[in-house]
Amino acid sequence: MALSLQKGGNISLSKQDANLQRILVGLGWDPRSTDGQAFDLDASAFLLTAAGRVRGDHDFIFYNQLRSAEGSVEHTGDNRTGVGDGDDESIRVDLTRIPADIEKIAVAVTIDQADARRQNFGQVGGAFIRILNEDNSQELTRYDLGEDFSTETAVIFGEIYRYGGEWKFRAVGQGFAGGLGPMARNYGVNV
Amino acid sequence: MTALQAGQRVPLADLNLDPAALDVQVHCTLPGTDVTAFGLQDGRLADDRYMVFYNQPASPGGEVRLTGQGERTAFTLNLNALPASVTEVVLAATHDTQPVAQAGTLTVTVGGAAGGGSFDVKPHLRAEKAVMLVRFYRHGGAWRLATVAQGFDGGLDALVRHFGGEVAADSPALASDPTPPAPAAPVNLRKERQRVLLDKAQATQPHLVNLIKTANVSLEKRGLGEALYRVNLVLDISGSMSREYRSGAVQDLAERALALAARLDDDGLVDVYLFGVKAHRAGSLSLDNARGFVDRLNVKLEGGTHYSPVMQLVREDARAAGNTLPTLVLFITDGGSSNRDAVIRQMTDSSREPIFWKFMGIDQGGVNFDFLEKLDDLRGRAVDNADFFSVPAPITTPDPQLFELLVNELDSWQRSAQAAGILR
Repeated sequence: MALSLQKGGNISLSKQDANLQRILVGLGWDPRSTDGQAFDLDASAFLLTAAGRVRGDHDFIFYNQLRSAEGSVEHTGDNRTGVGDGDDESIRVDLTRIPADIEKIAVAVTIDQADARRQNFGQVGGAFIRILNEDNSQELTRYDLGEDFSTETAVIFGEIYRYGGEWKFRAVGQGFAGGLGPMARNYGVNV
Repeated sequence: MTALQAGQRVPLADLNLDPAALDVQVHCTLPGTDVTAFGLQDGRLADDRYMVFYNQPASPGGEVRLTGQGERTAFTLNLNALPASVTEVVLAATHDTQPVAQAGTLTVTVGGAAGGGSFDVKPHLRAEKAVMLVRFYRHGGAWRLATVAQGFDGGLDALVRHFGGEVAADSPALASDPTPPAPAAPVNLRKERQRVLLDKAQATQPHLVNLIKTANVSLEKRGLGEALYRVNLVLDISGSMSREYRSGAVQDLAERALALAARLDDDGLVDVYLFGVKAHRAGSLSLDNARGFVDRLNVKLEGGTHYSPVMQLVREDARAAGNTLPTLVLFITDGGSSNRDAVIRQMTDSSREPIFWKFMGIDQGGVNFDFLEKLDDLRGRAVDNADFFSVPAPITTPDPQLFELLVNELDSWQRSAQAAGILR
């Protein structure tokens, strides 16, 4: 039984599964049920050093750069509407191949053209992030963001981070003003 | 008063609001907009008795009460008193024919003894004819407010489908509902709207009540008591009409058109057009603005009479409204048209559209209505889509007779148009 996290909660992935090597970060949301432009949510990952910054632009994984340089983090592609069961977007992470100087992978979701379409996360229902063991598809943990944000257009859903010799996951649920660009700049990406 | 944005989710406590004593006001300036409070169980309309609107102004225990109508619809809510089966209350604005965004103002104000918030809904809307404005919902033992501003272009039907219900069909209460099931009386929105329009006339324009009843008799006689039409009023503004405007005769005619619309149109609206040399849209006439409507038009008379451009405008608007309802055009003129070939083309082409043209000639004396007579009997049309009659000026025709003339042939057109597949 996977452990469901509340905002701010964390869990040791390594303790959940001692043989854990590769994980799948699944992100989902409900498609829009009312008339109007669909919610196009985009997942991104930032590979961060102990200073909380990327080493370079290649550490920013998003729809235009689907793989990290050494291939440890891979975005599986863009879903434009949220239609379909299960995960709408997912990111593969090979924990064994994460460079040693990377301490943390932040997973964020932003709404494409949020300003033009006057959309924000308060209008999106059923948003979640979950972590699976890619080798056996077992769900290790999930975090339903339901009530944890409203008018944000960019949200850091969670972080996978080193702690001692383990990998842990934290349910962050933290909004970020301004969208993907400012968020990327905040992590040191040149955009 | 806090300004709320769309997509916000706020505990009522954060707005200093008491869920047991909430005043909610919806300010909407589009005539014909209905505001309804839907008590839902997990997003579904499980019990019709918690749908509070003009026809059902309070929920069973008075937890949701409609306390004001008109441009400012008001509700008083005691959310704490609602049965546990009601997990949320959604306020929605709906309009039968027009996007709600056409309102100049659409705001929701949530207030109480202290605090409160206001939400400007209009900037978030597109073409929705049904809009969820705000929702109050249970979360972790407390009530929260969410600002929604999303909806459906299809209007009330689409909204009710979204809530898992059906219009005018039984919605039995769920088995888990602790309250006894609602009586299985389908909500006949159509009849109720007619009744509401009559009540409204009684309250605001009592002189129209008899007109509406008289109009109804003429319609019932032709089996049109249940008929649903868009009603258009097309007014001649050629120079010779000057006396009819000054004398108030045009205002009288407008009120008779409105009386017909109170029976034929769910919103009781009349779309008004003016034509002389050019064609003009002149807004919507309703019970809310009927008094002095023609005076406020500030008509500038024009030196000519051209039917074709205004007929084109009427047809375009009917098409834009989806041609889902037939359109009854009351076309008032005191003379024949220039460019008759264009008019004949309009008549012939529109005979395949769900539009019925009722030409009323005001006979100022010495005017030749031969052309209108000819239009009435024009060949080459899919169905006979027009009727013409004239009355002498000044108009002294008694109302029962006038309504007979105004709806004459509407029933036969409706039957032929249905047979020809022009009208469903």
